[in-house]
Amino acid sequence: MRYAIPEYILRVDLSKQKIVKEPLPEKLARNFLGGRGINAKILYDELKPGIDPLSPENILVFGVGPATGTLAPASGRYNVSAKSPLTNFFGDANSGGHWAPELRYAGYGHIVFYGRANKPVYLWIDDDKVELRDASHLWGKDTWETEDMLIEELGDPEVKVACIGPAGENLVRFACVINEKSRAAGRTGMGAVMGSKNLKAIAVRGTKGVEVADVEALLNFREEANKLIANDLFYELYSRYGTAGLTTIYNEFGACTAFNSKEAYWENAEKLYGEVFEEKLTVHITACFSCPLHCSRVYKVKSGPYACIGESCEFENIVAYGTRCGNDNLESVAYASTLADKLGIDTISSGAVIAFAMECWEKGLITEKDTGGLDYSWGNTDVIIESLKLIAQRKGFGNLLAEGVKRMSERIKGSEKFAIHIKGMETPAVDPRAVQGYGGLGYAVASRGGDHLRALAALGYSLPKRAKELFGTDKAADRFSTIAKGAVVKFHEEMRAVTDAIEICKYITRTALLLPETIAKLINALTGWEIDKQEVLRIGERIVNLERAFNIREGLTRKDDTQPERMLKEPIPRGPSKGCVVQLEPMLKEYYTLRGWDLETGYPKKEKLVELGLDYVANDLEKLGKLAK
Amino acid sequence: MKVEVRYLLMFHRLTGKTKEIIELEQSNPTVRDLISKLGQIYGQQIVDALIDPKTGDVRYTPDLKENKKAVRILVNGRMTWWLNGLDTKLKEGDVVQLFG
Repeated sequence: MRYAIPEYILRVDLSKQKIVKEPLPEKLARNFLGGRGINAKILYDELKPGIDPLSPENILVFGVGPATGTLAPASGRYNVSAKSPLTNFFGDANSGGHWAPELRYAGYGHIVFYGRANKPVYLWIDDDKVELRDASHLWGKDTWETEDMLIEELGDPEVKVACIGPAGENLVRFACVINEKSRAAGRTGMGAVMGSKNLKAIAVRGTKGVEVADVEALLNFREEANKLIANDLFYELYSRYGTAGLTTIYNEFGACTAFNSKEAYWENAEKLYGEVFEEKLTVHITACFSCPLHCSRVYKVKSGPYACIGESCEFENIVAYGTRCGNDNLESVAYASTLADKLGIDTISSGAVIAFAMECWEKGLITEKDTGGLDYSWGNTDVIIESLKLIAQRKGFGNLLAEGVKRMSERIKGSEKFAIHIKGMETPAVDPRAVQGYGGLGYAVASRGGDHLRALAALGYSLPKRAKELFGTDKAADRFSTIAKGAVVKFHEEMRAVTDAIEICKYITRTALLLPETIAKLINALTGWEIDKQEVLRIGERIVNLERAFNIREGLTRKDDTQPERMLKEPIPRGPSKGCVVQLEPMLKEYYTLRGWDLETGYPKKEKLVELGLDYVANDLEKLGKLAK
Repeated sequence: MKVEVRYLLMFHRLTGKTKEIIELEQSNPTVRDLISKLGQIYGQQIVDALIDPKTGDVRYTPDLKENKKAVRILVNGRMTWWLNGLDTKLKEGDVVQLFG
C-alpha cells in the first residue's frame, strides 16, 4: 500500500494537443520525493542540453509533493521548473496559496508540458477530465482578469488558477507564474517559458482526498510542529508583521540592499519598516493552505496616486521597489507590488533592473535618448511604476530592461562592474557582504543563480547555540566570519531541497522545523517509509547534485560560482556592516571539498554521484569530459 | 550618558515606541544596566522577555515550557553573543536594537 505519493504524472504535448496520464512510480518518489526533486529528475532525463529556453524544445514541469494538501504545516506549495531563459541554467520557482492542494486533490503530482501550442491555450483539469482549451480571449489579459474570467467561464468559485500575465506572453526573461492573484512562482523566468509555449493558464479543480500512512503520527507531528513554530525566534516577525518585518531586521543589521547595492544601510528605510507597513497599510492577515505562520497580508492604499489593494507585499518587494531604487515612499512600493502581480513580473529581478538603470543614469551611461525621455533618478517613484508597464509590454526602454541586468550590462558600456547578478539572475534583498554564509556563499553556489532560497542559510547568522550543536562552533552563526560556512550552506541546501520536494514552506522550516530528524518524522507519518535523518540529508544531496549536473551539462564551471564584482571588491561604505566584502574563496573551498566537487573545475566526482545512486549521471558527465578526475 | 534604543517587532509592541534616547546614570554602563533602566520604565515584563532567569543571560533560545520566545539584543548591529553578553559596555551614542 502506498500513501501520500500522488497517483499520476500528466504529460501534455502542446504541439500535438495530446495528453497522457501515467502512474507516478513510488521508486521515483522514494529517491526524489516529489515537487522540486522529481521536477529536476524529469528535466535532467528528458531535456536536451544546449536548447534555447524559449524554443518549443524546452520542457516545463509543475510539481507538488507528498505533503501537499495534507495536515502537514504550510503544505500549499508547488514548484515550476524548466531551463531558465534568464540564466540558461536550471530554472525553478516555488509558490504557495491553494493551487497546489487543488492539483493534488485531482490526483496529480506533476504536469509536464512539451512543445508549443499553435494558438493560446489553457489546461483545464477537473479531477479525471483533463483538456486543452482555447485561450485566445485571455491573451493580453493580466493575471487578475485571467483568473476572474476563468472562474466565471468554468462556473465554479473553487477552481484554482495559475497563469501568466502580459510579461509572460511577451517573453520577459523574468516573467513569473501567478496563482490566486498574488502568489508568485517568481524567479528564473518560468512565466516566459509558459508564454513561449502559448500556455496562458492551468485551471484546476480536485475533489479527492490524500491518504496518509499514519494519521495519529501526523496529528502528533502537527501538534509538536505548531509549538516549535510558535516559539521560534522569527515567529512574531512573520506572524505579526509578515515578511515586511524583515526590512526592519536587515536594515538594522546593515544588510539591506539599497541604491543598487552601493549601500547596505539607509536611514530612510525606517519609513518602510514592518511596523510602519502594519500600521499604515495592512487590512487583514491571511495564510496559505494549512499554515500556522500566516505571514501574508492584504494591504490597501486608500487614496491618492498609489491607491491600490493587493496581497503579500513581501520584504523582497519592499527592497526591490524601495531601498534598492532609493525610494522611501511605502505607498508607491505597495502599488508597484500589486502591478507586478497583475503583469506577472518577478519583483526581485524587476526592481533590480530598474535600480541598475538608475545607477547607469547617475553615472551618465544612459540618458533620456536611451530611456525615451524617462528620468531614472534615484527614488523617482513614477519611473519605477512606468518601467514595470514598459517591461511587461517590451515597449521602448522596457524592451532592454526585460532582458535582465546581465544582458543590459553587455549593452551598456562601462556598467559591468555594478551589474548585480549571479549566473544571470539578479540577487535578492539581503546584501551578501553583510552575511557571509547566507549571502556570500549561498548566493554564489545556488543552482538557479543569484538566489537566497536554495540555501536560506539561517543558521549562518542566527541561533549560535544551535549552530554549535550542528557544526561544532558557534562561529558558524557569526555573519561576519567565514568559519564553517561551507558546512552551513551545504546542510541548509540539503534541507531546502527536501522541503521543496515534499512541498512545505521554507518559512516554517527556516529555523523552527529545520532539522532532518524533524522532517524524517513528517515524511514517515505521511508515507510510512521509516527513513532516518541521514536518508533525509542524502535525498537532499541527491537533488542538489542532480541540479548541479544539469547545470554542468549546460556549461557551468567554477567561475560561475561567484559574486558580482562590487560584492567582492567594494566594502560596504557605512552602517552596522561597514567595511565588509564577500570573502568567497575560503568558503567556496570548504564547500566544494565537503560536496566532493573538484576545486578547480567545480565538477562533481564520480564517487560522489555513485554514492548518491546517480551512476547514470556520472556516465553522462564522463562522456562529456565533465566529471572531476 | 545617552544611548539610542530601537524597539523592533515584539519590543515595539511591548513599549508602543519605535525608538527613544535613554539616559544611563552609571559611569561605565552595560547592557544589563540598560535593561534594568528599561524595567523601571516599562515594568518587569520587558526584563523577563530579555533575560532568562535560568541562565542569567539573554534569552537566546526559547523556553517552550514557559512559552517564552527567543530574543536578540544588538549593539550597533552586532549581537551581544559576539560581544560580552549582558556585560557588554555601552558608550555615548551607541545604538541598541531589541527584537524578538
